[in-house]
Amino acid sequence: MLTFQQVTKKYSNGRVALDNVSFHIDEGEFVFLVGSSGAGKSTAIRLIIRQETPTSGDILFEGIKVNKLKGDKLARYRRDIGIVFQDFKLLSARTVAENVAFVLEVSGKPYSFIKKAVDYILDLVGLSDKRNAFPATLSGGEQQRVAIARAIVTEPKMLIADEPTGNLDRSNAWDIIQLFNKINNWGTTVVIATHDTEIVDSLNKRVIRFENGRLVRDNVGGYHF
Amino acid sequence: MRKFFRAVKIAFQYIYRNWGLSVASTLVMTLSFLIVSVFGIAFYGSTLLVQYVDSKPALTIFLRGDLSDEQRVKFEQLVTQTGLVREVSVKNLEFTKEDFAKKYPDPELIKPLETEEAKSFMPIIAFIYSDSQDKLQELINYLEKNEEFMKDMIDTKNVDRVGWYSFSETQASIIRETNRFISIVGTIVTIMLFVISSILIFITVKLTINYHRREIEIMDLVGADGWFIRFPFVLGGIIYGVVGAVLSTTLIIVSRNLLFETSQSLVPRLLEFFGEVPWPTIDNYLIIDFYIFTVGVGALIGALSSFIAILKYVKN
Repeated sequence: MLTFQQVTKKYSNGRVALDNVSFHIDEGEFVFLVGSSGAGKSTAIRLIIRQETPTSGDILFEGIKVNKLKGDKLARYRRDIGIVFQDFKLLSARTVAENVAFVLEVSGKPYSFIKKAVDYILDLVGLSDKRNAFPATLSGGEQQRVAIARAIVTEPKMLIADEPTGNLDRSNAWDIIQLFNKINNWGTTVVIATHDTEIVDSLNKRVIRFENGRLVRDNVGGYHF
Repeated sequence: MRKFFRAVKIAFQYIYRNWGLSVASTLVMTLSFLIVSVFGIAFYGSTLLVQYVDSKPALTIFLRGDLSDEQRVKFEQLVTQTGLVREVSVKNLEFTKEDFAKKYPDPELIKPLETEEAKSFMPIIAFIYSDSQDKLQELINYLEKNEEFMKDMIDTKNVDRVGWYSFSETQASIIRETNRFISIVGTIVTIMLFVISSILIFITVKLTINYHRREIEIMDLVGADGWFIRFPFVLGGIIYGVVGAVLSTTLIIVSRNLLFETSQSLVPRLLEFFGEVPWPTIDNYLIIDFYIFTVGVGALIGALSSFIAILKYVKN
């Protein structure tokens, strides 16, 4: 489904964020991208969502070169993947329901469909009673749930999350990871960048580890396996 | 189509959230259109006036109403042979009657003109065209010394001099100069105001973009099409231009109606003075055309300004 082919990302200041990295993620997999700060996991995420382009190498999603996508094709690709950010990236002037509905609106879905889908997803993430609340009035965990709801409401083929538990307490972090696990069990590929050892250890999923931009480990097991 | 209407909705949300600047942009646009329209109308009016002055016979001579055909031909020859005139046009009594009726549409006054005796007191009008007023003055001097003309051709009952200038050279040159002044000043003012309006719309759209930068980033990341992100800003610019154009045009039309329909003194007098100028009839079609034109210009200015702003500030 997702392939990194000898991907290198070098910034203009000379720092090498990713150095000749190759890996492949199959459909339905649950993968953790781990490593210390600056190891390259967030860069990998930014490359997957095409916020940045690699200096060399290719990133393929279902055989299509993501790094070559532009315009409408890029927009369509981004609608095929769901993205969850550490800082949630919610629209502060819109309610919970409006934030979730927004991605369906931009893809041109009819309002009747949007309403049903939003009701269903908010119920799934346990925020039905907060549908008319604004993000600023929610806790960190609730905001992250909204972000997840927004990411999965389009039924993406792959869900990408960059440090989704970074701003949450243990209890909320655990709830969020359970939610990701549930989504993965329905068949959605999940890729999470994190340095939360406890969570990685508890799930026993595939781990891709980066150190100084290099891929140093790719197997199933705990954080320090 | 659904996405289009959603983009329209977003455009109105942007305007609403940034209402202060939106109102300022619209008002500046309205004011600009108002001033430009006043100049435009003044220029159009003065151009019609210049055309009228230029087409108007330079000298009008009242001849006797009972002038025979032979005498008419003789008069034409008399004037033409001087070499001072460009064209001579001797009208008939019917023309005089119509001209009088046009100026004094009272049936009681027109009635005596229908009788056979009318030719004894109604003059035949001759229009003399020339290249300069000096030549016309020379012609008057010549005719005054011509005994046959003074005795048998000129209408001595109604007039006490050989002819009247339709417009003196001074009047004509004032009208032409005014027209030239309006066109130059109007062009400069139009360019200046439209540049100012464009800049203000540009700034408004730029600030709106900055205000919604996070929203733009999120829209981009969740897969909104480029046009879906940009279109609300362009539409915002168009709305400022169109609303400004509609407001100013409405103001002009309302002011015109107030002036013409409620003023009992100034406008009718002015109309009497310039009554013969072929002013266009202000009907609904002309008003609709005026609206379409100003709205089109407003939309164009708004779209261009906002388009430049999004080219510069929305990168994705």
